[in-house]
Parts: sequence; C-alpha cells; structure tokens
Amino acid sequence: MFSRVLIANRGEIAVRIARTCRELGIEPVMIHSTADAGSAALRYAEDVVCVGGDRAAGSYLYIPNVIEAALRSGADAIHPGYGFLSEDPYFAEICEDNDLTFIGPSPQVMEKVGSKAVTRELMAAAGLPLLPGTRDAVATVEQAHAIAADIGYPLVIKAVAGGGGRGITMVRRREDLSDAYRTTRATALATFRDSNVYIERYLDHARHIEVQVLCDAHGNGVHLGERDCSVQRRHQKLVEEAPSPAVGPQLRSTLGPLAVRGALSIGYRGVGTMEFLLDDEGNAWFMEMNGRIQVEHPVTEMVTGVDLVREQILVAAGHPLTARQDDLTPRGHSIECRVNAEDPDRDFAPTPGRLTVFEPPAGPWTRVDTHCTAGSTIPPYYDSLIAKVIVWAPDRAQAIARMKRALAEFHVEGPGIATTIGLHQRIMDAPEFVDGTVHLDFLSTFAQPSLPESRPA
Amino acid sequence: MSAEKRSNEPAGDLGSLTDHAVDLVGRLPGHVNRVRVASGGSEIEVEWASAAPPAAAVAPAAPSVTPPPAGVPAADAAPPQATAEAGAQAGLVSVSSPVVGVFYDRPSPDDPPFVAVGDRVSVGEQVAIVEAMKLMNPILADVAGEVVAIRAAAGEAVQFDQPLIDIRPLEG
Repeated sequence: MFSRVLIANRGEIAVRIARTCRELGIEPVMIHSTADAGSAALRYAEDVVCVGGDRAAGSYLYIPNVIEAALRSGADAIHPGYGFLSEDPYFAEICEDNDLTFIGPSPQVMEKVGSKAVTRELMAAAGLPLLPGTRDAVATVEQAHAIAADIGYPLVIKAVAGGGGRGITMVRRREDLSDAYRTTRATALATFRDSNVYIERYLDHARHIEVQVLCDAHGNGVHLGERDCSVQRRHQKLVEEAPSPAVGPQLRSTLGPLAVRGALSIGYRGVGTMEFLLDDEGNAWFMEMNGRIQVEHPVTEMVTGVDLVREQILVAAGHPLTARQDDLTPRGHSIECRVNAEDPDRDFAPTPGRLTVFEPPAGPWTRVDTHCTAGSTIPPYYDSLIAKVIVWAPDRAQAIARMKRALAEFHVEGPGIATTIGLHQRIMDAPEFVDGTVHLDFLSTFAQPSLPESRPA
Repeated sequence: MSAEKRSNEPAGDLGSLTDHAVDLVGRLPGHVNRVRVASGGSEIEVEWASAAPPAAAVAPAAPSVTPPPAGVPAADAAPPQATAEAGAQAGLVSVSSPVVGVFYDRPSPDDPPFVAVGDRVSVGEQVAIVEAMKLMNPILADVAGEVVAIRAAAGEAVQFDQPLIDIRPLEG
C-alpha cells in the first residue's frame, strides 16, 4: 500500500481524498497555488507544497511542479481528483516515467477514453447502443450536411476532445448547420486544442443516466448502479440522485453489465462512468465515458456503502476487487445538491470573496463535502463549487424531505457572496422533481420567481 | 538540535541585537527555526528545523477562523513543519523560487558557492540553482545590491515562491 499520496487537486475533492487516505493509513500531501495558501483544505494534509501562482495553468496544471512536489515530498502515488490533470494521458505517462503511480487508468486507455469519436467506435464494438451519428470526426461542412441528411434533426455537433459540457452546439434546422459547424470547430480548437468534431442525433426530452463502474487490473469489473443527473444548466450538473426514478430493476440489470463490458473491453482500470441518454421509450443510448472519479460520486456511495476513493486507491495499488456484484444492489435513495458561490439572479455570475458565515447542515444521513469554513476566501480563479450536500433516506420522498431540511439549515454569508442554496430549495419543491419526471430541459424552463418580468414595449 | 554560545562581552542596543540575529540566520546553514540573542551576559541560541521528511515549508497560516462545525479538524491537525516566512524584512528583496525543486547554492559540489552573505550582486547575476525534472534552473538576482541572507540550504526541497536569497538593494 502507498505510504504517501500526493493529491493533485484543490477544494472539496482534495479534502475528500485526504480523508480516505487517512483511513487507509496513507499520509496525504496537498499541493496549492498562492491563491489557495490559506485554504482550510490544507489542514487535512500531512505535508503541503506551493506549486505556482494563482492561475491554474501555472500551478495545478503545471506538470513539472506537480511532479517535483510529489518526488520531493516522498509520495508514491498521485491522485488527480476530477478536472485539472485527471484526464491528461501525458501527465499519467510522466507519472509512470518518474515511478509515481497514477491513480486512474493507464495513459493508453486514457487516450482512448479522451476521444469521443474513438470511444463511440469501441463501445459500439462492445455492443453498447449508440445514437445515430458519426463514428469518425467530421472533416468538412459538406460531410456535415451529408450526415445530417442521413440522421435527421435535431442534431448536436460535439468537440471530439471536449468535456465539462463545453464544445457542444445543438442544431435544429439545416440553415443553421454550416455556421454551427464552423463555430464549434473554432471553439474546440480554442478550448481543447483539437478542432475535430463529431455529429450525433439530439434527443429532445431525454434524461441523463450514468452508470458507475469499478474495474481492477486483473480483468474484473462491477457496476454500482446508476445516477440520474438530469438537472443541468448549460450542460453543468446541479442536482444528482441515485438510483434514477426512471430506471427500474430490469433496465438496471441490462445497463449495468453493458457498462462493465464496455469498460473491460478497453482495458479500463479504476473507477469510471458510462453516460447514457434515456429516451421516453426507455431506450438508453451511450454518450461518453468519464475516466475519473466524478463530482457526484457520493450519491452512489450512499446507496451502496462503498467508498469509491478507497476502491480507486486499492485498485491502483494492485489489489483485486473484493466487492461482488450481488452485494452491490442499491439500497434506499440519495440526492446531492451542488452548492456554488454564484448568483442565480444575475445569470449565475460567480461571487468570489470572503465567507463570514459558513454553517453547513448535519444530522441523520446528512453528508457535506466541503473545504470551506467561516473565514475562508473563495478565490476567483477556479470553479465556484463551495460544498456538496448529500442525503440518504429509505425512499425518495424521505430523501427530498431530508434535503429540504438540510438546505434550510445551511447558512452562508459574506460581502457580495451569493449561493445556489435558494435555487436548490425551489428545485426540491418543483412538481416535476417531486414526481421524478425531470428531463434535461427542466432547468432552462424552470421559472425564476425573482427575475423581473419583461413587458413588450 | 540547538547550539549555545556565551560570552562576557557586553552586547549593544536592541537595533544592534536585531542586526546580529538577522546576520546569524543568513550565515547559518540549514533551515533555522528560532534564534535567541540575549544581551546582559551575552547569549546566542539557535534552533534548527527537525531533520525529518524533506518536505517543503508549510503555507502561511489560514486567516483566523471561528471554530468550525462538525467535520473540520482543529488547528493542531495542521502540518507540523518549519514555517518559511513570506516576504523578507522591510528594505530587503527576496529572490524566490520560480519552480518546485531542489536548491543548490553552487554550480557543483566542488565549486565555491555562487554568492556569500556580504557579496555585491548585479541585476541578472546568477545566485543559485533550483533543480527540477533534471533541469538546473539558474536563479538570477532581480535587483542589484548586497546579499543579506541565504535562506535555503544546499539539497533542500523548495516550493514555488519560497524565498531563497535576500538582497538589500543599492540606493539610487
């Protein structure tokens, strides 16, 4: 087992990883930028190293400093968390070159998973259902039109190297396709340094269902059930739950093994997620694979009793899986709300600054993953996630009641600080959410009572 | 580890004591934790950081926080290491490390150091090396002036922005 693990991340996930490290008897080392020098997250580390300036490019993403920090602090392994370097095959390779175990899949598998077009091809070969669309990147606008004529509208143009909801353009009409194609390629080049795009049929009124898989380095794989992440704003998840109200035991018993088969077919190792779109006929279509721990992993942990970070570390240390598929039936219901320091009344503008009051909820089956405390400063340079509130209850109705109670206890204040707590409270009350019928278009049409009404001139 | 030196010579006033303390810290090898310079009866006491893991210095303490609700540990769970004070004394400029790596005060073990306390340096003059990923990064003086303190020891792991050499800039 590793004696020291360097956590190449920040914020709530750094704390999350450090905690499981401690439980395994591993000393956590944390890196930080100058902007995060006062972060309360650092208190959970045995050792800390400043790796650069405020901008992520010069610190959390600056590979030479991250590697040196690991070598100088005596770390055996690096946990990349999510975002940052977690899906960078080059970084995984450099870890290997420096005899540091990268906690995640191999660089070669990462390359495959990182290309949407390649994963579509490989998953189709493994028997996963795909929406009509291209397997290869679309090279010209003429090709785009030809494909569109074949698969029909609405369709979506997606960056091959994309992620985090960026580099995606939806097209409803043929007249808009050429412009959308060119714009998406330009965005992809600027954001991901790869202008390749692929095209896929777009499903109106679908739900985002993702299956958690766990594979070891010995060819074993299990699934831990699905999550429903249909409450999204601009492709960013806000609320997640497990299990999905739209997935019954039969679909779960089909989708789970399919997800495992797909992961094992590409030699996946560690925790991973297979994303699907579920249409109203109950068909699930493979979208993409995520080769890292995800923000919303806690809801799966709550319904299965499995510590996913612990499993990641054990797999990376070479242990075979001990969990058996029969033991992994989800029990009860879990919901997570992502609390961001953003103002929903000002188009979710981020509100960095100092927290004078930070009182998170607690109580029965109420979990809060955070790095913040009263006195913390939220820097403007990174994402705006300040806490995840997660609840578990024996059934979905009780889970909603528990989340509402927890959100009401959550007090956050600071000069200029706003949060999405109020928005989450309104979502918990929304009829579609209570009925479990939320689809991906839910939040964009969700009434915001505090917005002023616009009247025609 | 610590060392004491006693003398019967009368020491000077407070300003002079401060100068002595700063001078000591600059001249002593290793990472100095604490210096005590007494007056009547004279006394010097030096305490070095423990020799334990070659870890980099801890970040400056978090701003004062109210005791947090359940879940956040108390302050005594903080990493137990030597503190690297951020900026230098007033009037001094610190040359700090641009990378995470290992500090070296000389081109090779057989060479003399680039600079010693008391040396005059010009802008752009090399004063140290920080090795990272097998690359020897030259550390250059940002200002012209006199070297007042060398704040890292040869072979010590240093982090981004860690002060390495303190320089008192030339007037004008």
